[in-house]
Amino acid sequence: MSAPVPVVEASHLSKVFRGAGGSVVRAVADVTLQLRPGEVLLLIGPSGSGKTTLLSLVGCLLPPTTGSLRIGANDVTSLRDDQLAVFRLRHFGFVFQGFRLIDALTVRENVELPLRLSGVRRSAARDRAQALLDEFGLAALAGTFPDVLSGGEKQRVALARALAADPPIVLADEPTGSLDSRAGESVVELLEQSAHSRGKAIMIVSHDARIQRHADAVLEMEDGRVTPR
Amino acid sequence: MIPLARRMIAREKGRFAITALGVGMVVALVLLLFAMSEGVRSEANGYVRDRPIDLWICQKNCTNLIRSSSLMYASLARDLKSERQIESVAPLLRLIGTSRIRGRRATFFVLGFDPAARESRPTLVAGTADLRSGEIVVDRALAAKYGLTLGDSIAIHDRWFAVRGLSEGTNAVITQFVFTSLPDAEQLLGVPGIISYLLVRLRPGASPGRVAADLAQRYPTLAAFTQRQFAENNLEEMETGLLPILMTVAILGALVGGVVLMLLMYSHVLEHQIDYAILKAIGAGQSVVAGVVVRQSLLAVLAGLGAGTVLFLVGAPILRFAVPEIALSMTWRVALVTLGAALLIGLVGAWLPIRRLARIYPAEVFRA
Repeated sequence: MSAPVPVVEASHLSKVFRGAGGSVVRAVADVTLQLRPGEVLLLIGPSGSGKTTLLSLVGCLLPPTTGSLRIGANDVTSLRDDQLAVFRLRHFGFVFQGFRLIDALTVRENVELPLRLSGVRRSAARDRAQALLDEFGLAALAGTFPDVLSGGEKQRVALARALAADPPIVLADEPTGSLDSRAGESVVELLEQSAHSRGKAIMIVSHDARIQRHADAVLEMEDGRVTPR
Repeated sequence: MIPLARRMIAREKGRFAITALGVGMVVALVLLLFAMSEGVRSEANGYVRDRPIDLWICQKNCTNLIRSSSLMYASLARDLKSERQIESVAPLLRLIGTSRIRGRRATFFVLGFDPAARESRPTLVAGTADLRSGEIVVDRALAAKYGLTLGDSIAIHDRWFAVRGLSEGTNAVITQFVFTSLPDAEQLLGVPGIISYLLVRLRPGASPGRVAADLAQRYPTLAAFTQRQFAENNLEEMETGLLPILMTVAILGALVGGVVLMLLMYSHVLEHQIDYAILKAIGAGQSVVAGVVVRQSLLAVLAGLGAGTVLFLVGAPILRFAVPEIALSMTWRVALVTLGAALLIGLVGAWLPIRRLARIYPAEVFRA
């Protein structure tokens, strides 16, 4: 059986930041990678190695300085900001180290957010969000606000939000970074489950060596360059 | 969309209350100034506007009752009365009177009129306009300002007059009208046989415009205006005098309100920069996040409109008690202008925060 077609194809991606004093930082240098549906790709490396910048490039949160990026059948390097926003909404779910839930919204409303932004009707969005919260064991917390949740609960809500609009790709930045080992393990298992049972393409950036056993492929990053491990 | 604007407000009730109160005070100020402006239009122009006449005759180059000089021979009234198309002529003598009332200096217009001619009688809220020598009708705002009631006496140019009536539509804000009989006004002026205006009623079927043009042609030293034109002249005179000041203060107030709202909304955006970056990262476009800020701004303005209306309703009677010559008039135009000003405040208040939002990048979600 042939391997699934990649949903992410990055070719010779580079990102250069220019400082106010004329200093130049090459955060990502000539990176080529692929990510396929059902695959968990782990990107490891020391702080400052460019992992998060690469994740931002792949997630269309930052434009590359050079190189090309295809998501599915689309070359996204030439899209404008508003087009990229719509593109992210349809193709990506994000999980962040600091959870990044909106404290003014309830747990369910946070999960509903990508659906409502996609134009899904209120009642359908509510049902879908509630179903995900049930699945992640968060049903009882649906009406509460994020600031009363534990770290593990917040990260599961963030994962539910990432999956709510059923995007083909989930990008996770240090998803266990703010969690104890047990909660971290639980979140990584959910990510792995999303890849293997839902067919999501998962890219995880992490320092956490324990995640490696959940990954299908591991890339190591140093000084902006990646090497397979 | 999820009611994010309302939820953000609900989590920052203190800030929202301060914002709404700030906007409310500006709304109350704008309401007050526009109500004053409307009050000036109706109150200052009331006497001219409501006279049951067709023409105002005055000296050439005079255009209005408030800020224009006009002196004519009283005999002119007889000449005009003999005109075929004229039914009645009522003379009016205007001079500036001064007095000390309860220890305070008062300056006002004295209008001497013929109590028997209903064309020149002021509209009363109390008492009578059937004046005899030594009696006056006083504008009600002037009376309130100096605590005058019917039966009180005041000295004008060293001559005592008893207050017999209180009038309305005779408050020009910067000054008020006092009415005496024509002979008393002549005596106060010290020059007999002089009048300022003639109030003319035409016979049925006569055209005011044509008669005015005809009179102006045949009497080169006179100016003749239709009732409507003279009222418009009066209003224009008020508008070029006082109303620009009111409008300027109202506009400045609205701008200050907009800036206050802008600062509060701007600080809100800075404090919630990460929330807006999250929204952008998960796929909200600039128009969506800008909509969240605009909604918050408009909700603050709506709350401010409510607070401002309450402040105005509570404050207006107090103000009228403290400064009786301030005429306030609430009309649909005042309400609409205030609503428009409030919406302008809301949009001005959202402008800079929206520009700041445009500089929030979705990748900021990765910031520690």
